[in-house]
Amino acid sequence: MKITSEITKNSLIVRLEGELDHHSAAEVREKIDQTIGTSERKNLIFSFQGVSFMDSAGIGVVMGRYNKMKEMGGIVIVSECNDYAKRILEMSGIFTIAPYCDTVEQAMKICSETWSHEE
Amino acid sequence: MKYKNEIKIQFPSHSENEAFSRTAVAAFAAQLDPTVEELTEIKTAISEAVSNAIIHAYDEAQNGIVTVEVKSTEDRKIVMIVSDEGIGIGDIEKAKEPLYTSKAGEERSGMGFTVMESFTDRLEITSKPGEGTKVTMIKQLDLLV
Repeated sequence: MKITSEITKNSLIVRLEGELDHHSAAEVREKIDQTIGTSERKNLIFSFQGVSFMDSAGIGVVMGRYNKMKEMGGIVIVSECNDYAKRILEMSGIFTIAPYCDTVEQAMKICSETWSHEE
Repeated sequence: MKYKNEIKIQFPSHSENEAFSRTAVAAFAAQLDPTVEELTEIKTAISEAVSNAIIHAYDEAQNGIVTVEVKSTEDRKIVMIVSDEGIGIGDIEKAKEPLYTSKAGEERSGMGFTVMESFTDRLEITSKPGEGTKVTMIKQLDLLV
């Protein structure tokens, strides 16, 4: 699984590419957590655009990152899922705590609004 | 039930085999010319069942054997059986509850059985603590037009 991260003014954008299952989730988790630590950003935006397969392990990955960002007083936004990935994430109700946006740009807008409220 | 074709694969409980098993089952199911959606549902259901065997039945110990049997029928049913000889499930009803996980704190979503149930037409679980678990899923493919 390929993991690309981008750090913007107030968020960390993580783009996943490949198949996300229990096997690949371990590496994904580890890499993202490292980046969360070094980036010092409070908000995390996931892009699932490149995810060609996902099972319920994907829910665990989002859930775990949500708990981490919450501890830091930040948020997690999920974006750009294909219909199947979205269906699986939706089943768990995860979008009630880590909201869904169609695009990374929309998610960034929410993060910057959250940020300016705090300032 | 009379079967049109059937396969059986066995592999050690290594997590790399999750991708192998769902791809192998998809290749078998492709003989029935399913839709892309049906194929994705089959792959996901298998992935959930095999992951459960690796994570729960064998506690990620890598020394267990997972068996996957798949059968197809003339009326376009795919019967999938995933079995293990692991620790077994004490309370099946509890295990099936959405969001319930016996391994809290390890980022398990507790959605495995819910996904299997939602992506197939029938889910049956038989299990004996200390002996193993057998998960049977049946998927009826749409009739060809």
